[in-house]
Amino acid sequence: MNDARRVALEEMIARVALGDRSAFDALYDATSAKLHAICISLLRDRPEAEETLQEVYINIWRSAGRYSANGLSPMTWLITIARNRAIDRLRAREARPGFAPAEAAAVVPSPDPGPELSTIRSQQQSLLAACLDELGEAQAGAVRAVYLEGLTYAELAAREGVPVNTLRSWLRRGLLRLKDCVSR
Amino acid sequence: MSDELPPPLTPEEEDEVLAAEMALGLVSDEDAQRGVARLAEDPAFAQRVRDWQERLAGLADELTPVMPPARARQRIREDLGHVHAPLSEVIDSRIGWWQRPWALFSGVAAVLALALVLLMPVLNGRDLPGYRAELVSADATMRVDARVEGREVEVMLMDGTVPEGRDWQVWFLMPDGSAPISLGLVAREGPMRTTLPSGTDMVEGVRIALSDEPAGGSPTGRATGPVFAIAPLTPA
Repeated sequence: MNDARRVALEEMIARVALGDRSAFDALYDATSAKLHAICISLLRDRPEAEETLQEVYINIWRSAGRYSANGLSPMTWLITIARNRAIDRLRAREARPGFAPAEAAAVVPSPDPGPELSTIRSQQQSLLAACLDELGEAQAGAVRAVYLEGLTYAELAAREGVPVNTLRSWLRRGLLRLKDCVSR
Repeated sequence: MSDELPPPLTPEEEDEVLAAEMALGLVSDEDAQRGVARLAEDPAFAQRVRDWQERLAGLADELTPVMPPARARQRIREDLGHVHAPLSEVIDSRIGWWQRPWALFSGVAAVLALALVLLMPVLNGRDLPGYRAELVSADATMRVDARVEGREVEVMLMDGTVPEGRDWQVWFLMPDGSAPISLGLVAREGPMRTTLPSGTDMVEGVRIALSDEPAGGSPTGRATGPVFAIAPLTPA
């Protein structure tokens, strides 16, 4: 995401926070296809993805005022809202107790909004791709399956045919290697 | 993947992994309580979670965007109460307020007409060249006069008080519907003087608007608060 787009999105969110409906429409035009794709990827069900997308934009309209305090780049904030909402629906559908709502980690105010964030993020993006490659197909695939399809440790373990604890330990180490790689 | 148990993670590694799992939505119940508490109490940990959110969001770029059906937007508008009576729906909501000021205008116009009649003797006596606009709020408690001579602009608060902690921003609206251009803030006392910014011209159909903004003016360069007065600049 280039700087001009980031600034445009931040301005739209700021105007949405002030109740500007035309800015809300513009934000929807600019981002709804991407957020819809995330909902579809996680939920694998078009009607439910569409319903989730509606909840996501209602949430965005209501919480835009808190955006500037959370320190995330605008697209990450929007993606996180969409993903968390879809994950919560997924977990509710699976009636899987034992998983905390993803929304819990959604809005954490930051004391440092970090104006350099977008540059950092675009660097991180290419770095992320390189580091996932370095991680190897199996672990990178598992990270993608968790992020884009919402798989749990148990589901991954079943897919790989290993005990959950083994899988968890393996993926946790993969995440640490990923962090080490992108921090280099 | 091996079935042997690897050496346990260090506390530092445990934190990092928990942050990643929070961002991924992979946290089990027992860890979730710990994690949520940490988010509130430990800014460094909260930052780790945000870093993971930022890091992982790049994965969403691998997805091909899918346009949602039009009814999705319609339902969002209905849920938020943004849907108006069918007649007003004709107005495209993507058109900026400066391009469809008729609703605001009709309220202001009546007050303006009355004000003009009352002020006519005064205006005639002052013999000012250039263009003028009188900006009067719908309830007629606030009035701001604007005058343009050549490229010189003078804006003066005539009635009412700018609230503490707020500012009234003056906008120059070209007749071509382009985005409003800020001329500055209304002074609390005395005139505010400025010159027309480059790219603007005093042509027929130019209007002036006032919006209510946070102290110091709009943080975004566009009107963010309610526009409470709008008026054409007419030859004085």
